[in-house]
Amino acid sequence: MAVVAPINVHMIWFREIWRSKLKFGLLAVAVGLLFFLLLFVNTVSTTLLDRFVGAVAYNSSDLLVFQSEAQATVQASRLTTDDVARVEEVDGVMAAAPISVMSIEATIAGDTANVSLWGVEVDGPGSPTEVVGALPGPGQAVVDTTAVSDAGLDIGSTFEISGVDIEVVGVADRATYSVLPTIYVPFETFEEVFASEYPGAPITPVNMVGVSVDGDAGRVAAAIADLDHLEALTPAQAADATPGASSITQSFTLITGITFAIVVVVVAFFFLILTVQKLKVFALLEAVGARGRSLAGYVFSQIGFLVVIGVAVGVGMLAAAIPATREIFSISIDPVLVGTLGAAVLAGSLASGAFSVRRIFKQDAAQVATGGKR
Amino acid sequence: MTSKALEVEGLTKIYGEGHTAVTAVSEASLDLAGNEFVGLLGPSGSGKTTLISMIGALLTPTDGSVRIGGEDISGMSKKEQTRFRANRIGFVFQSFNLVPFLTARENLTVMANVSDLSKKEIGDRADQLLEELGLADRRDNLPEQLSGGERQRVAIGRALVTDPDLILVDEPTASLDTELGKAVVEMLAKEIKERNKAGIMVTHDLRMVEYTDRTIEIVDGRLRI
Amino acid sequence: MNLGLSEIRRTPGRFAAIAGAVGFIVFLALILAALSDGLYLGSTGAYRTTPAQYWVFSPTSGLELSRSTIDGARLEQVAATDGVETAGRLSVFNTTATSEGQDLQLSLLGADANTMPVEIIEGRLPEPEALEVVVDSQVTRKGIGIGSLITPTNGPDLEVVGVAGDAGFGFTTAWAQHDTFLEVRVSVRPELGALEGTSQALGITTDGTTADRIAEATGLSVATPQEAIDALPGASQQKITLNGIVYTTFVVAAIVVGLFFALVTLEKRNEYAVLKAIGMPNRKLVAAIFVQALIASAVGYVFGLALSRVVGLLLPSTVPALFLGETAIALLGVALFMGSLGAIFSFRRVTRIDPANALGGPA
Repeated sequence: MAVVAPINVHMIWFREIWRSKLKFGLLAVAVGLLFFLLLFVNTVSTTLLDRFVGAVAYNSSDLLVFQSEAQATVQASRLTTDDVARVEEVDGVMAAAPISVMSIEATIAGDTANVSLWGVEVDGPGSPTEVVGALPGPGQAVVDTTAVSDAGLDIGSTFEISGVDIEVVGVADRATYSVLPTIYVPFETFEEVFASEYPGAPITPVNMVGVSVDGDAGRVAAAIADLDHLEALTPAQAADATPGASSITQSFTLITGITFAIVVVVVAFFFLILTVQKLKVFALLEAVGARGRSLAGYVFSQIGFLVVIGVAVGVGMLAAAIPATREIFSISIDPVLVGTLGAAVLAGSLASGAFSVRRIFKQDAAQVATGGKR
Repeated sequence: MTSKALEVEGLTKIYGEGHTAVTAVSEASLDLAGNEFVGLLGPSGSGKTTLISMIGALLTPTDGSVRIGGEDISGMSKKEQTRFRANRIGFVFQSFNLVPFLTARENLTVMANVSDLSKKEIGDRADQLLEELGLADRRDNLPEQLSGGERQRVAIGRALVTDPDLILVDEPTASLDTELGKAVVEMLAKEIKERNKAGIMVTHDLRMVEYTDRTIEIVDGRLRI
Repeated sequence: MNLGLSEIRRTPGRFAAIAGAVGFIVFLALILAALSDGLYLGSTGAYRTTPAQYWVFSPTSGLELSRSTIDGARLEQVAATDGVETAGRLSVFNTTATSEGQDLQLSLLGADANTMPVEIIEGRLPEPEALEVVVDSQVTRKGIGIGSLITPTNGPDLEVVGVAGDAGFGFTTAWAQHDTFLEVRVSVRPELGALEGTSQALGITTDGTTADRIAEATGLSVATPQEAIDALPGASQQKITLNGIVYTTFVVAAIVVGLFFALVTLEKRNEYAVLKAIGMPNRKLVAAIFVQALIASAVGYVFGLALSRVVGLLLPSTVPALFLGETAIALLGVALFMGSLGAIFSFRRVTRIDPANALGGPA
């Protein structure tokens, strides 16, 4: 058998795209729109979750202790300082600190706003981690980034809660709770606010106990769970277990899954049509010596090229959508998310191209000689 | 009915302008009587497709006139041309002749969509033509289930179903072998004669000329009668 | 005989493929719309479901229930205001609870006789003084119904005695008499005991007196149900965002349909040339494509609708999807419109095909 030099089909695949820019352009736009949806949905869900339970998920504790009946819901968990002491005595617990949370009205520059007020031990477990500025002393606070963007607070500004004046000394990232501006004050300041808001209340309730652990957190959690009415979760577990968080996660996972399936189906479908239309061309290329492998490369190169363009279109649309959605969510482009989703869409689309490649391999080059007739 | 089915006078087509102008057909004149079937011969690039396109109301000439059944088509709008083609001209093409998803009979009755004849008239004529063309038992087959010869016979049927004045046939035997080609052209000639139609057949195959009344040659856009 | 229909009948495979692709997109849109409806209606029902024509909030509350406080004296003042016919209290607090062996996030609403849900699907309203609740109909998806007990954490057992339609307010929603509500809240949140006797908002009916007049007379904020809903943090934004995604998916549907017909037209340009040569006007060819696009969209819609209903049944009850007939019908309209829009891409290509190309062999 004569050795036939393989035809270089590399440039042909690109030339086809170049010559039918409208057709491939529309397909790239469709992929781009779908990729935009994927990005948008995932970005929104991450943003929503962070603003919903970021304070729970990203604080400095290794474990968060809840009242076991409270199903890891901060507001429903009612503990006391006695419980903090009980937790402190558990083997492997290095430090335990009370965390108290309430929704309350704050007066900021003459306006009132609902805020989530957290009383924590400022250098103890349960305090925010990504802080710019100073740790708060009595009468001072660290506020989350949405308090800066939504409520107009910043380092140096002061506000008033239930008659107590508080000064902002630091700003913390990923420290939002319950989609409210979130304010972290020392526990004693929290007690002062609470007493002023609810005069005559017998005690200041503690919602969680933040714990730092020496050694295996799982074993310590099990030991805490042995205590009456207590349950210990890692911050991530506690965030996942927050009611409402799972419905957000599940809803958005569902949307992501369906959108992903549509991208793959649309790409598969159109390349199959394009391939069937070009079977004679492929047979011709094969007859003049192109290898099967390079024909597969033809299809895969086109898919890869289109998906890359589609990803770029999707990212571009997300960038354009950011100002439009600023009022609703402050979202940003996460390169890791773009990379992961892009790779997944590329992999799914290439896999779907296998249908087209199979179609090419099923016909034989001899058909060309007979004019494609059977 | 006028004795002249087709009168072509000084028909000219020039593509482009100035230095790049190309004259595809130059001053072509031609008359066809009511039952005349002529062959149009010429090498490729000679202008025969351009000529037949102008005669068939598919292309507007640069100069000259075409009268079919006494009606001048050169000045018609695109819409009028379309309607004229549907009612007064029958076409047989060399390939892609039939609508692939319509049966043999439907490929004829589809003309009811465009012709001024009623649905019933077209239906009756379709059945009669299929019978005459020996396709009665193939009427419900799709084109892909028909042989090449059968397909061309369906195309002849479609060209005749609207009872046009002029039949234009473009290389009808291009995708057929010689015997089959001869049979198809013989049948075509017979149908045209029997129905008193004028017909022009473009071909480069001299063996098909025996079925025509006369032949016209076109070379470099000029007719040699 | 319609050319478009004949083609679909003879080559159903490729139309099934385009209908399938449209179907998947419609499926996504319907699921998204169900989420949007579920989230929105499920978190705003309390303002709509009662006989109240207006909701009265404290002046600095920004019309937010959780920030509003109205004490007993204010209630009497509002009830005595000229033009006010009835006035009833409304309050809510969220807590955890258990029922039928599952953990719940409970939105417990307290209401008086004239701020209770009007649409009782099953059972009855709670009796005064009794530890009874009526639940929103969505709660029944969790297997909670009449006779079930709902136990708020650190609170007393509440017996479900009725089911009300469109009465959701966020999480698992239950309505108690306002006095019962206060009793439960005191046991769950002892520190809020100091607020006993107050409510968060008032629902009122009037003899036609306008909201402005009542606001003027009482010095309180008076809002229509829709204004109160619009003031709920996030509810409208969520709806806008999700509906934005729904309409984006339909743009994709239009592009997909458009691409399909662009490709098919390209493939059939010789056939179109022949059809035009034998006298088929552009109008008929365009109509054929239009009919095909409509059919592909309609079949795709049916497929997507069926798929969304099946998936809807499989969704966990934590996913707040609500499939509404009117949304489905509206989206059918959008699907058909977008499908037709996609077909328009090909119209120009078809009309531009030169019938003269039919002559002279394959182009």
